[in-house]
Amino acid sequence: MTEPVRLLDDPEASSLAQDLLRAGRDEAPSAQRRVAMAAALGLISGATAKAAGTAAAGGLGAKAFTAALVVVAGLGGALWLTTRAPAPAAPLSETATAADTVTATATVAAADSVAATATDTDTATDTVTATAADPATAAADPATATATDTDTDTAAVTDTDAAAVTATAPVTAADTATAAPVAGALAGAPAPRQGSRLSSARPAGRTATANAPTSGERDAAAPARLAEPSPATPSSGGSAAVSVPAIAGEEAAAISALAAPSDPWASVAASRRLAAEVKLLDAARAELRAGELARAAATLARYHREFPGGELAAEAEVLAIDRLTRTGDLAQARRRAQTFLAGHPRSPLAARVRALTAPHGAREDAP
Amino acid sequence: MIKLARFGHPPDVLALPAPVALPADDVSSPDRLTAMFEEHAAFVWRSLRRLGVSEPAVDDATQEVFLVANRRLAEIQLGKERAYLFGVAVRVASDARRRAQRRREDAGDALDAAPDPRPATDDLLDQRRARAVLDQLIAELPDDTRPVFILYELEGLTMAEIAAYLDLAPGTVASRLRRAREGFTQKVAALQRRQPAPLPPRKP
Repeated sequence: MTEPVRLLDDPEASSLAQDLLRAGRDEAPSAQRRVAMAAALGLISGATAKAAGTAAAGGLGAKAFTAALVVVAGLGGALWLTTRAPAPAAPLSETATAADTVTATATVAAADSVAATATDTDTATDTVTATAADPATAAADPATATATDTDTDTAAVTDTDAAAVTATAPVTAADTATAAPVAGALAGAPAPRQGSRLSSARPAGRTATANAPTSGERDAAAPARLAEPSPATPSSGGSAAVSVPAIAGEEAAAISALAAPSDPWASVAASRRLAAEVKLLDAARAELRAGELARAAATLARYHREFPGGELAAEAEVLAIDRLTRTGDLAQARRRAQTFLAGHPRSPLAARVRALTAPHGAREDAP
Repeated sequence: MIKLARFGHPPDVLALPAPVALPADDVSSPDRLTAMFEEHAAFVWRSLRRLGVSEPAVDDATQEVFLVANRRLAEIQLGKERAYLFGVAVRVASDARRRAQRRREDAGDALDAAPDPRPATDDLLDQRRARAVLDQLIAELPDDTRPVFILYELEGLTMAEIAAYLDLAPGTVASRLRRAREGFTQKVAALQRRQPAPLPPRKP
């Protein structure tokens, strides 16, 4: 079976066809819709769903506080908790507890470093400055790319939660760093085979944050809800949180009585997903440098497949443009560059895109 | 650059722990459904959209797919979750399209008064409109070729994977893919002839 070149990777394919396909490939449900669906299926509680829905929109406000806390906690899980915390003192301790517990299950080794990296406001800001001056270096360092991308590329956030971003322009470093992982995890693209680990981590996280008695109830309640088959009437997305049957109602009351309902799943998944995104793009970058253009194309395709609407989509597009320039398809590269620059005019990556498609093909990182 | 150095290049970002497979006796665990949802909800949702489920109906359809999966959890082989979900999605989408068709017939042409799904090509950068056009073009492909086209061109599966997903002979996948690509390419070309797409101006 010979595989034809996919239209999206085919330089011969019409640009209109590619634009259409790309739009379809990158579509993903919004954070709220994903949470509502999970709640309707009984996979998470209605209270968590509601809280998460507002977290995506409301969490943007508490940026400085969140950033400070997260540096202390050093864990994405903390992020999600604290964005919705009413008072600074209590959530701080809960955050630390959650972090300890989850870390103890050894499921978030990678998440730690990414969270710490992406949410250090000072560093992120400084990095942007450095990056703008030196685009090649930015792309060379995956950690830097992570920070700059979440920092300035609002497209990732807009895609998952347009309302949240448009309500709070301009989006600053801490804003995006806070919102993106949360919205990303809930709306987000699947992180391959992380599910089982995350599921096993979840009960520990719940115990830590929701206090022992309710966590018992919740774990007992979940299978019960799942056992009730009501497939004929899947509830509508909009009212999903409300329409989850009685058990969820009780549970919701119990949970909302607590100061900071949390779902470490979301935040840990987000951080891990980001780490996995970085890893894939790093691989693609290395392949580009090594001149393995076909493998780089495959890796980028895999990135889009595994992380549709991923947080580092802009970085991936820059790599795709880079690849095109290396294949000699300058026309296509310039066309994609135009589109990119139109969508991300102020991104630090824009400088790199301009450099890539500059007339003389000047490129600092050429092998 | 000093800050960059401080930032460093933490090697542990790149070193994810090895994936842990679900234990074999865990196939019916509710956690398995949760894990499936975490991993595949976006894929299912997007597939349903491309298979013709309308935007307002797609959340319900996604839930329907996972409810079916929940009832059949024990029958879904480990590692074949995505394939199973796609198979259910194809059936759910087909039902949803039929229902929508019936509603349209019942309601006369009133529901068809939606704006032309084929907007001017210079508006296509608008992702939503681009998706509307894409879905229209995919909807016009022959029914049997649609899933193959979606899995290959949008989800990036290999033809062998698609054969396994859809339980088809490799030759069948190849011929359906060929037909779908020809159809799609022709439709895009026709669209472009109708309204030639102005390419963005090149920067010198």
